[in-house]
Amino acid sequence: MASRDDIKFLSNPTIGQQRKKYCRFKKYGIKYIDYKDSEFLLQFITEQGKLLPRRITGNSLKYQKLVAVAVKRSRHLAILPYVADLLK
Amino acid sequence: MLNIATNWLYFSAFLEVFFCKSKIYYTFAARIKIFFHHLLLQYNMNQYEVTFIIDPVLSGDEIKSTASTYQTLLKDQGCTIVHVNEMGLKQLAYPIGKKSSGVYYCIEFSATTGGAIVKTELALRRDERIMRFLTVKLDKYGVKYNEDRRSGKISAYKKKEAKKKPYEAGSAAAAAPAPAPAPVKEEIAPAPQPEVVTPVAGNEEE
Repeated sequence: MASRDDIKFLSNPTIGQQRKKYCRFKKYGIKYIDYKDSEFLLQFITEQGKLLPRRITGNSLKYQKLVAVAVKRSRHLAILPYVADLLK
Repeated sequence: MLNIATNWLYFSAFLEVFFCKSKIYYTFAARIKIFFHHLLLQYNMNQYEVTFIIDPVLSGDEIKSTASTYQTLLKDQGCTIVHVNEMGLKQLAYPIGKKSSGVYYCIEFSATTGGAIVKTELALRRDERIMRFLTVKLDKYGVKYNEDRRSGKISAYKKKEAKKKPYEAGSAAAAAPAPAPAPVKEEIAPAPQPEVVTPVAGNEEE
């Protein structure tokens, strides 16, 4: 009998599937967001330097708020820009 | 916290009952009381972090002296300095006062009262050498993060490079050293040729 591994699909079956979003802070146990770490915070802002919504990053509400505070602090200290073009 | 405070009340009451019989013992009790009070204060200490940007136009010694003045200022107010992080000269994300770079310093300290912070912030605001500053109270996770950062458990986040499959990485590593010697050979090889060729060519012309 053919096992599951022997079945060949005509197209890649994983293509249409949506990947489940998750909160990386909860998943990896990150409790503190450093406002001095610009490389890390760049993940949560757009190319214009705007905060990315939770809908896209998948952060939980608790950590999205902390990210927002950290980004605002780093903007004040000129680690991240307030307004930018082609940031990434 | 409340539990500790009530415990402390019970304990101090007990001390007074126990030692109040004679004057000598009373002073002894007072000393113990003060000692425990200090212990409690240490327990109540909050940890803060003040980050500031120093004008890069100043010379290296002046920059260091400005940073040390704020350290001494904090110490004079009864704060204990946990760590000083010299983040060095950095490019600013946007110009501040027509300057595009600044020297970042981060002083981590613990204090019992907020009065010290008010005074240091006033001094920082008055100082022309300071371009920006920010004082932040660290929660317990922040304190732990900074400790881990210092001990090297956590390193600064780096952007992940595109994942290379093992065979690609191997071929890239093999390919990388190979082209390096090749141009050297080429440089050496053609150089003697024209020296040999030109006289021959000259001879033919003659």
